[in-house]
Amino acid sequence: MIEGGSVVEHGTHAELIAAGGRYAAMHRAGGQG
Amino acid sequence: MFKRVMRLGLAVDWIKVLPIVLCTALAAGLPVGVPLLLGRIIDAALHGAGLVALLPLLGLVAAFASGAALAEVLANTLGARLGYGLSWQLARRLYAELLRMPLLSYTTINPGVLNSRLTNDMRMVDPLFTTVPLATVHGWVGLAAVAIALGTINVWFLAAFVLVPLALVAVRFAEGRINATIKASYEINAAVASQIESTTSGDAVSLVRQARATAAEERRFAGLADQSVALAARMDNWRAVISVAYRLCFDLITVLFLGIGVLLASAGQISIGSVVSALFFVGLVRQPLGEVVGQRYPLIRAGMGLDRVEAVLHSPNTGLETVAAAARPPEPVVNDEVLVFEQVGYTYPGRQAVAVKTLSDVAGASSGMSGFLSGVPLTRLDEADGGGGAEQPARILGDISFAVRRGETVAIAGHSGSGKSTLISLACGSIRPSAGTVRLAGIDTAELTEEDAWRFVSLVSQDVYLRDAPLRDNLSYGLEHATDDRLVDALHEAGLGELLRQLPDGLDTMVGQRGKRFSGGERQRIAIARAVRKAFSMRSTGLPPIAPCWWWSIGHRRSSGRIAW
Repeated sequence: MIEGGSVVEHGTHAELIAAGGRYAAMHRAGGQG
Repeated sequence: MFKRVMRLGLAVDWIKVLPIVLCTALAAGLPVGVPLLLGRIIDAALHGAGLVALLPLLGLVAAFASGAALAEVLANTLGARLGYGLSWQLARRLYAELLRMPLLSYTTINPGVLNSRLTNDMRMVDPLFTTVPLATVHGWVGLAAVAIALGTINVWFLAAFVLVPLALVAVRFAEGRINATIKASYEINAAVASQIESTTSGDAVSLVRQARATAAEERRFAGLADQSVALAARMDNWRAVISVAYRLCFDLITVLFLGIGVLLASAGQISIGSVVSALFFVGLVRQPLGEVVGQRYPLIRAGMGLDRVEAVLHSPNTGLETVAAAARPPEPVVNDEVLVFEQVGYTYPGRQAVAVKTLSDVAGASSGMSGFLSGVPLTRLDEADGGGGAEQPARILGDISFAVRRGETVAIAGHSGSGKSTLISLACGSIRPSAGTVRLAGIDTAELTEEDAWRFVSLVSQDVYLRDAPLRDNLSYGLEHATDDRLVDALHEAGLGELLRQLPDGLDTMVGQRGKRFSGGERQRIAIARAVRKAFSMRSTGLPPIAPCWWWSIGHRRSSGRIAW
């Protein structure tokens, strides 16, 4: 996951969803839409 | 202008130039003999010579005339071959320069401008190598020959002849007026072309309608049409003045020569035949004189074309050596990490840093780009020049470090504008990092030419570019020894087996302009098949089976990069 020109999170999809960070937030936003 | 053409450094075969100059000089010089001989024939006839006695002289007249005609045809044939050869030598160099610009430069250039540079502008330059040098040599030799011949008849004719250029001052003045309008007419033509191009494509028309600007565009076009009419009328007016002034000038010279002739003949200084000769010369001098004074317009036109060609040749952003494949590219290092980003930063260059003078002036160019660069907004380049203000820096990537190992699939997620496409461009070696290092197969991409980097990488972009050619050519482009079986295998691998069966022409199917014969998804799969095909060929050429393929896909709502190794 990149944001502001840097890698802010990395890992597998499952790990990132479980961590509940930026990636998970973006995924939720996309899923709802 | 001659010096300027010489500075282009074209390979000129001077051995071939010599016979052309010689033939042109003969074509200009031999006709002068005809009036001189005619004068003698008339004098001889007046003195009672019969036809039989005059036959040798008449034969000589015919020989001079035929010799001049033959020399002229020969000079034109040889001259055209050499001249157009030089012109296309320049066009080839221009094309080579235009193929070697930074990819970002193309986002600042409308493809139509490049086309026009290689066609219209080069055609404007053509006369510099063809008609202008021939006419210049022909004109000056012709004038010199006439001057010498008139001098041999009587020095008074020569004195009157020297006055001719003075009488042509009016012609030159009118020519100056025409030249002043040429530039304006080119600007109007460019504006007309730009309006047509920016309003008549499907996308453009849709935009015009959305803006409810159809009538406004018509009015804008009408304004340009009015300006064009005014300019064209002014130009034709001056052309008519030139033509009339030229004719009048010669009529006056004829009267002057006749007056001098009658005066000298009545004083017994010259024969009647000589007077007739001198009058013939007035007619003979028209062509060379027209050639000498008539080169200004073609020269100005050619100079304008050459200005634009030279601007491309001299631009630091064209003809890059880092684009075409190196003779000996660095050898890949076989290890597990096939793609490594080490503290990579990327800042968009300013528009000025990638622009090419006279090419990048036309706005709205990025609409012509497809593939991963279609995501590069021109505003980024403008921001980098300081136009965007401090709160919108052109820096897109700050400090990116990661490694992709063989067999791994990596997705890059991020919001729009976060730099996903830029990261892909860096990984392809198409752009170079501003900071840090990108390693492909263990090699720093800064050490690779762009074409060498593509040995290891295949790209499937969100907007796939296909050539208007058969499917086979699109799959095998750049790949020697691609058999149909291999291509069909690759299509199956990309999930296009079913589609291929439905195509009556199979691999011979024309894909249409930009591949529009196929749907967006099918175009992407064709690009995947290209990537698969490349992976096959890498295996067969013994290259390490590394980084054979990655692709870039776009989701329904947000885009993400996917790298498959």
